[in-house]
This record gives sequence, C-alpha cells and structure tokens, in this order.
Amino acid sequence: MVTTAPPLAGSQKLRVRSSSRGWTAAKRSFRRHWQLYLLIAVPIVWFAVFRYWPMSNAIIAFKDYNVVQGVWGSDWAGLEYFQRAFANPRFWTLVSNTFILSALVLIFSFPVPIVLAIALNEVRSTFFRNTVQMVTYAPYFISTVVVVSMTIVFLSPRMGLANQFLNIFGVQSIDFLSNPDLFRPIYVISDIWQTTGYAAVIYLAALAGIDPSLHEAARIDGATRVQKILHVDIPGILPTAMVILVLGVGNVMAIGFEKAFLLQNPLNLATSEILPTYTYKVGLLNADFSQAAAIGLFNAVINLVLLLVVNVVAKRTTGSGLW
Amino acid sequence: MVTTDAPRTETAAMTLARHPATRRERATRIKDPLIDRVFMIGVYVLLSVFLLVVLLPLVYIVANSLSDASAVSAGRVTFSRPPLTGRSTEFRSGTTATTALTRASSG
Repeated sequence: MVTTAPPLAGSQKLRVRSSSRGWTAAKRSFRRHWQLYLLIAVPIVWFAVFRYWPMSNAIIAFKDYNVVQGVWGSDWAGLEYFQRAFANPRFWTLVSNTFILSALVLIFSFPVPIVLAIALNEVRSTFFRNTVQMVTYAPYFISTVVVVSMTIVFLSPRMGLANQFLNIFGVQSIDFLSNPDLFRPIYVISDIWQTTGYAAVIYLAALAGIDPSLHEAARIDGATRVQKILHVDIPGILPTAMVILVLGVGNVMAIGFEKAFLLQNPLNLATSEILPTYTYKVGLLNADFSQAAAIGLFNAVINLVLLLVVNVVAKRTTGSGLW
Repeated sequence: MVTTDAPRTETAAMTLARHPATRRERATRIKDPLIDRVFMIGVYVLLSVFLLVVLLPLVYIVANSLSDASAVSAGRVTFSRPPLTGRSTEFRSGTTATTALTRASSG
C-alpha cells in the first residue's frame, strides 16, 4: 500500500524553502570564503577543547564523585552538595567576604586609571609623561607572588618601611597583616598599585581616538582644560569605561585566588577567607571535589547573572555594552 | 674679537626683524587662563605622587634584595644609603654571582 504524504501548508512550504535556501547560501559562502572559515576554526576548536569541554566536568557538582568510577560513572547526588553548602553558616560569610572584597576592588580600582590617563593626556612634557607611564606600567609585569612578598616586606612590623615611616611620627609599629580589618585595604591598595598603569593605557588609547577638532572647537569657544575634560574627554572614553566596568562587574565574584591566599594567615581569616580560597581548601586539601565543584558552580552562576544584569543596565543608561 | 654673548643677542634680534610674524604671533598667542595654570600644577603634583607611590616600593625592594640580610632584619635599609653588600644573592656553595658588587660596595 502506497501512502502519500499530506500536502504541505503554505507557511510550512515557505519555511522548508527558506531553510534549504539558507543552507545553500551557507554552502556557497563556505566554498567562496573557505580560507576565512579555516581561520576562525582554530579559535573555535581551542574554545571547544579548552573551555567548553572542561565545563562538562562541572557535572560532578550533582554527583557523588569518586576517582575510581570517574566523572561520568559516579552516582547521582542531585542537589545534595548545594544544600550542604547553603546550610553551612560559614558559607554565607564567605560569599559576603568575596563580594565585599571584589566590590571594593572594583569601586576603587575603576576610577584611578581614568584619572591617571586624563592627567597624562594633559601633560605637555613628553619626557615626564613617558617616565610616569613607564613607571606606573611596570608593576603589572611583576607576578602576584612577588607583589605579595613585597607587600609583606613593606608592611613588616619590625623592618617594614611603612612602620619605619609611622615610627618617625611617634606611632607604634602596627602588624598590618594580622589585623583582619586591614586585610581589605591592603588587598585593594596593592591591586591599584599593580594594575593602574596597565588600565590607564587602555584609556589613553581611547583618549587618542577622540577627534582633535572637538578639542579645537572647545578651545575656540573658550573652554578651560577642566571643561574640555568634562565635556570632550570623559564622554569620549565613556564607552570604553562602560565595557571595562561591565566586564569588572561580571567578574566580581571571580576574584583572584592567589593574592588572597598568599596574604592570608590564621589571624586575618575572618576577612581573608573568600570563596576561591575555601574552594581550594575543600576541593584539593580535603579532596571533597563534588562540594568544591558545587561552590564553584554557584559562584559562576552569580557571575553570569551579574554580567547580564549590568550589561542590560549599561546599555539602557549609556547605550554601550558588551553585546 | 667677538664675544660669545654678542652673536646670540644679534641673532634673536635679527630673527625678529626678519620675521615680523614671529613677533606678531607672540603678541597674539592665547595665554592660558589662571585656572588652567593652576590645574596644570595640580596635574603635575598628582602625577609626581603617582610616580613616587609606584617607584618607592620598587626601589625599597631592590635595596632590600641587594642589602646584607642582617641589615634588612634590623630595619637599617633606607633610601638614602642602603648597606649594599650583595650577600643576599650569594649561592650556598660559596660561589657568588655578586662578588664584584660586594667588592665595589666595600671598597
């Protein structure tokens, strides 16, 4: 018995025709620009292998992972590890520590490079400008371990320069790194010290892209330097600043592990213990991989939500965002 | 005999005479208002502070790493006169990469 397919409705016909047309166009485009497709294939493969494939292992957050059965063979545990993390009273302290530290870094690190870039842009002396730029840029190339070592030596209660300076004014030496209240300022200041020069270069590039005729017009109109900065320079670098801000907020919970871990000691744990350091201790030192993966996944989800929200807000308020 | 000052004065005067536009330009150049000059002083002060804040810890650490360990632990390393010995970079075997530095600082 021969069955005949029912005739296609008008909209279905159109959809089939348009999809086959799209496929034909794609094939034609591939044939014509195969070199470009080959070129883009390299980063796509790199992302797939080194970024997306490892992400699949985050499934151990929902499994009772053990090394013998492997990632895919371990028994399912559902949301047990998430519930266990949320039930731990220490967990929310860690979340707040991470959030406060990241927010402080973002709030204080964000405007300083803008100020530095604008100031450098105003300087006429090339020698002075290049010297300041080179010196402020240099710390970016120092590794975190060395920066932390420098911080420890600099703040040492016995031989540190900071305490020597305080002693001049009759102030007794302070053990900066043992005080939990001082951990966050130390972290933020060392971060500003290390990254300001590098971040300023990005803003300097944005300032260089501003049309000089705008400055000339402002000068002819009798604008002072401050007025030129407020009405030409700052609006000119605003899109760049917004992208950096959105990226910064998107990474607000993904604060670096190394510096907090290296500056940490038993006396300042109340503020220095953050999610990444806790994940390291739980996951690698206690070998509780599923618990560590659950905490890490929670952290990543918060980051993603923040990134999406800030991007929408930035697009609505300034018209520029990531996508 | 020609003095060293005479030609310089003469040249400047000659330049102005030959190029009257130069004199005119000077006369009509827009002078920065006071607020701009004050602002620029502020900019230079700010950048100098940036420069010192970044540079001093680096110099201090370099001074520490080139100083004698006992001087470092006693807090005697200063910006003005670091007790430079280079001993902190000596190898344990006794062969030193900084012998020349040590000799230079002691002699």
